[in-house]
Amino acid sequence: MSRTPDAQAASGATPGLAAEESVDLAVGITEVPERTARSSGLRAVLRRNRLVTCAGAVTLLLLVLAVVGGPLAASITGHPPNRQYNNALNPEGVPIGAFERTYNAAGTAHDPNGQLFVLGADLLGRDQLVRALYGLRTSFTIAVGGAILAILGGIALGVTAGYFGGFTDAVISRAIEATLAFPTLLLGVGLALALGPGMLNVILVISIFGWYYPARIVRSVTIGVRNLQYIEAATSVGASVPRILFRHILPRLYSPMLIAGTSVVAANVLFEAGLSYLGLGVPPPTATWGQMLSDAVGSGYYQIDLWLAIVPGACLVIVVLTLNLLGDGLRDALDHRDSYL
Amino acid sequence: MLEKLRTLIGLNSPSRLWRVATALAVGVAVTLSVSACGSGSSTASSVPSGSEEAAESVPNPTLTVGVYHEDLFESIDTNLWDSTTSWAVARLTCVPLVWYPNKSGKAGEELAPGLAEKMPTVSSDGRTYTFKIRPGLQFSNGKPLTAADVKYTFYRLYKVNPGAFLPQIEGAQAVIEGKANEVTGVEAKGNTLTIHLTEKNGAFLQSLSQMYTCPVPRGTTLKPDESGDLPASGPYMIQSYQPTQQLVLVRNPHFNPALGPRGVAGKIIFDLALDQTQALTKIKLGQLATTVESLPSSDALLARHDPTLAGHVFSNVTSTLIYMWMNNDVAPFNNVDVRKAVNYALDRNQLVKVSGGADAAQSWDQMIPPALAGSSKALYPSEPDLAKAKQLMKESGISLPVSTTIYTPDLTNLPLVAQVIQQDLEPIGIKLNVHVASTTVTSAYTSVRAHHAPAGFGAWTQDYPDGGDFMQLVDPRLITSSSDHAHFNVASMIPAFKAAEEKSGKAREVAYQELAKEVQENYAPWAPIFMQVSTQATAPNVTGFAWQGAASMPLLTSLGMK
Repeated sequence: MSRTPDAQAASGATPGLAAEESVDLAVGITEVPERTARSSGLRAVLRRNRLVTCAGAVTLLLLVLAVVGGPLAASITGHPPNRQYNNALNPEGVPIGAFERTYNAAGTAHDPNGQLFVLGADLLGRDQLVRALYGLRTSFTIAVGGAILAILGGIALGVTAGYFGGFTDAVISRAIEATLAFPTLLLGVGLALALGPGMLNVILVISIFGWYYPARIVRSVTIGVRNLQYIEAATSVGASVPRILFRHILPRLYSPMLIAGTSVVAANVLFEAGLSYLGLGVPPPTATWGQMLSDAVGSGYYQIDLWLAIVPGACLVIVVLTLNLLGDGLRDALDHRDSYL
Repeated sequence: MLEKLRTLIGLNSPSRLWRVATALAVGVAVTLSVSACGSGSSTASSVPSGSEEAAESVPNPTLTVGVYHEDLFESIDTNLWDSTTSWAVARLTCVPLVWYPNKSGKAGEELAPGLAEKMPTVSSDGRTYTFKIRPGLQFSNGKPLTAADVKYTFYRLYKVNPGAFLPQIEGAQAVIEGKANEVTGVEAKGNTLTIHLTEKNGAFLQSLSQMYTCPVPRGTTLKPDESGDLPASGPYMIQSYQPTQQLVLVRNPHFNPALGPRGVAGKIIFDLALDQTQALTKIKLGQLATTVESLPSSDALLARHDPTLAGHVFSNVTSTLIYMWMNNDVAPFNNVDVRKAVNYALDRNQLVKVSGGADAAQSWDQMIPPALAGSSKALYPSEPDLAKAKQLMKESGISLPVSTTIYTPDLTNLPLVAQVIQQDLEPIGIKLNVHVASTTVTSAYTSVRAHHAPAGFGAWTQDYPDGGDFMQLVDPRLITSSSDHAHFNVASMIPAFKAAEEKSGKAREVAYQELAKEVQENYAPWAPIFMQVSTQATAPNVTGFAWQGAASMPLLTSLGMK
């Protein structure tokens, strides 16, 4: 059970009680100091579920890689992400594979003193390792950016619907259902085409089709909370609606939004890859996994050099799997459905 | 004109309304159908070139030929043939008045009489052509094929296909406008057919070789006939047709061998539902004899290195020119020095490489294909000459770096090609943004002159082997045409265009060679990149692969089976 800020204040944890805060005691809500319990619960979950621990660690690692991995790899290999090496393709246009060196001038054999490409080169002779790491940055930037916008939108609409109910709830709920009914990718493609390419536009498209999932959760949580006695008490002593929302309801959304957030980010990674695969993502030469996959599959060269497809494909699998495992673990740790009952 | 220009471009910075409209349009967008109307001069059959003689071990074999489902027929109607695939069928089922016959090598690249007994006599003013139709010709239904049928064919052609790319025949416009029941400029008396043009045109005979001029019997419906029932005049006729699935051709019992070879196969089945990715596998298994279109470059490479297909992979330069057009009206490409600098900065060899190597492309720097360009030496290098390019950029006087956009259709390897160009132009101070969109969207956007698209890609497959067929794309008199994305508008060049247009024969060939050279060397409205190469594989038991250069396609009449 979560402790509300007002109840916390009433119990003396926070100096300077507001008028309505003291009412919490009056109405007899029993508050259990929960932060410690939850923290220990989280630790317990992490101890029990090593996979979640690993997922968290890998996520952290991925975030670090997203920030510094690309530039670091480019610095170590000496291969800028967009630099095309003519001698990384043979005369037939086939790129060098993993752990191979560039071709000699005639393109007939690998040059023993040539440059090493750890994960091979792409169809333009660019370093796949460096581009995969830069692709991680692109992917995370878009996915997290899209998730933040979607969650903010979802919270705003979900809280509004859940708290005010009635006609407002009906309108917003129908909007959620209508959005759910549309084929997201198809509409996303149309919208991406209309807006044109670019990172900000992709973030916008993704957030437009990502808000309803958090909105449903937020609405549900808000409805569960709004009729609780301490909300009634707060209302009865004249607490304003914004104060109720910001002090009593929004803090309740922290856990569900954190859990939903990981799922939304994972879904956004796939959405972004899908748009890039279709040529609607970030324009070239910016590295994106979807574009890397598209080049490999569209050209058919993955049949000749599997690394072209394996590298971006594996990156997608790792990131999405990691985020989903993390989301599952966080739900186990944080999502106490009876906490507001 | 029925164009198979896949000049494609993209969207960018248009009005919001346009963007929304585009988004909606994309929902129903269809893939570009690149009709390669045309016969073509083509060239050099590279690696191993097949023999025209087919093995006789299997008499009258049944061959299955693949057509990728992305490139289906636009129409099965004789007078509407207008795509690479439909012309492959047309060359088997009909014969026009004059044509590039079903022969490989030089014999297939020379204009020759078809239905006509011999080449026509031309009046001194160059406006009247008189043909003698071969006696004893019959349609596949046994009805005689006469000059009157050919006259009717022109009438029907203008009724069902008013956009057909033919020089103006007297009375054609009245038919198109519904004001006449016959083309007054076409007269049939006995076996004599006379055609009067409104003005002299040196390419009239070449234009008659286009397959949609094939004859239909008098009285044929004036509406498009998609049943496949129209009678044939070529060595084969349609036995059955299931749209998007299958087309079966069998021998035409009434074919007159004077019109050309009968064809080795007894039956040819076109698999119209072929998935491009399955073509090579089916060929290796013997389920397909070959394909009309080229194998994808990756499959061509796999086939080339597959021991089971040794001696069964054939690469031939087509008449399709891929080029980067630069909008002469829009900065920075409104500066001729910048356009020339681009031509010097391109690494055409690398562009060939990323397009699939020699099995997919051949570096080219001129506006007309190698077969038409004569001995004209290279105007721009295949390897970049950055020193020259930088000097030109300096002389251009524009402040560097300059940013611009290339609209790129998401077609085959063009997005990759665009990125190579992006890297090539960076050292000379041009920051090129690559805008990739679907072919339909790209084409729709860049075709509108008011959008001021700075650069994009064009692909042109000749309708027939003639320099004029390419140079019309930059003819200043046609600047408003949707094909002219470069908006080349040098008025002083108009007399040269007009003079070349009126010539015929060798003089015309030379005139267009000089014109193409002058335009590209002095004004560089395009940066030609490469000629497409077509690579086909044949099944291990299939013999007789040959290339019809003028049509830029396999010569299906010569395919046999051992």
